[in-house]
Amino acid sequence: MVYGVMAIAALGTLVWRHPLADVAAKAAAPLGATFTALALYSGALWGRPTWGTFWEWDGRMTSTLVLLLIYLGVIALWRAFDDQLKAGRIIAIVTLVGALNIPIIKFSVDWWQTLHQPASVLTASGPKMPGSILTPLILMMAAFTLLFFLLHIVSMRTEILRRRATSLQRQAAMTGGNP
Amino acid sequence: MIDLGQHAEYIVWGYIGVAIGTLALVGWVLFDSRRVAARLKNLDARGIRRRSSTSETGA
Repeated sequence: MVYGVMAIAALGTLVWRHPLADVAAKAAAPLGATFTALALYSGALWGRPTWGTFWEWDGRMTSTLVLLLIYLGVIALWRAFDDQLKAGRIIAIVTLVGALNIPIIKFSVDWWQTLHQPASVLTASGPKMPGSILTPLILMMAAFTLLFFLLHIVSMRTEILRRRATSLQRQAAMTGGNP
Repeated sequence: MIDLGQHAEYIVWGYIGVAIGTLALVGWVLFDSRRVAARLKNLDARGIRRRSSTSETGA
């Protein structure tokens, strides 16, 4: 979901050159990194009693770890550039290349049948899990989706103000500190 | 107290870890927001502001 927002924002930067697109992409990256890290953490905790191990180089786990590394790479790239407009275009390309990992995560359980069970929610015959598990799962997905949108809006506002502050400081430096 | 069964330890650590991670994220977003607002306020106090806000205030 978060990476989907980043991929759409990347298109917004490259195709429509919308000024808010790279702000949206930059604001989403730390949120996506945190949610992915939490998914890996809780997944590892679930794996220990279920599979007898915290970690295995299984398709779903490995592709999710790759997603976390992509998020961290994108965050590092944003910090590496002074010119945020130029950074936005370069990072948009990186983000779109990284989007190839999203279908890999989704279909990894079908392509490589290792530890993870095959798809059990989005299947042609409907969810395969009992309601006692499916209901809290959907509830938590909705809650974390709403939390993401809330934090994303706040982070976008912060990023816009940060760019304004940087621009004002630059102008003040050019005029010798005189407003 | 709800009986969490034989995997109680993993469930409790799952909740604790996710709660810490989520609260840390919310805290960081709010901290960053306030830090940038303070930076703009500081610039404004030094008279460094956008031309549009100068004309709005009549300064």
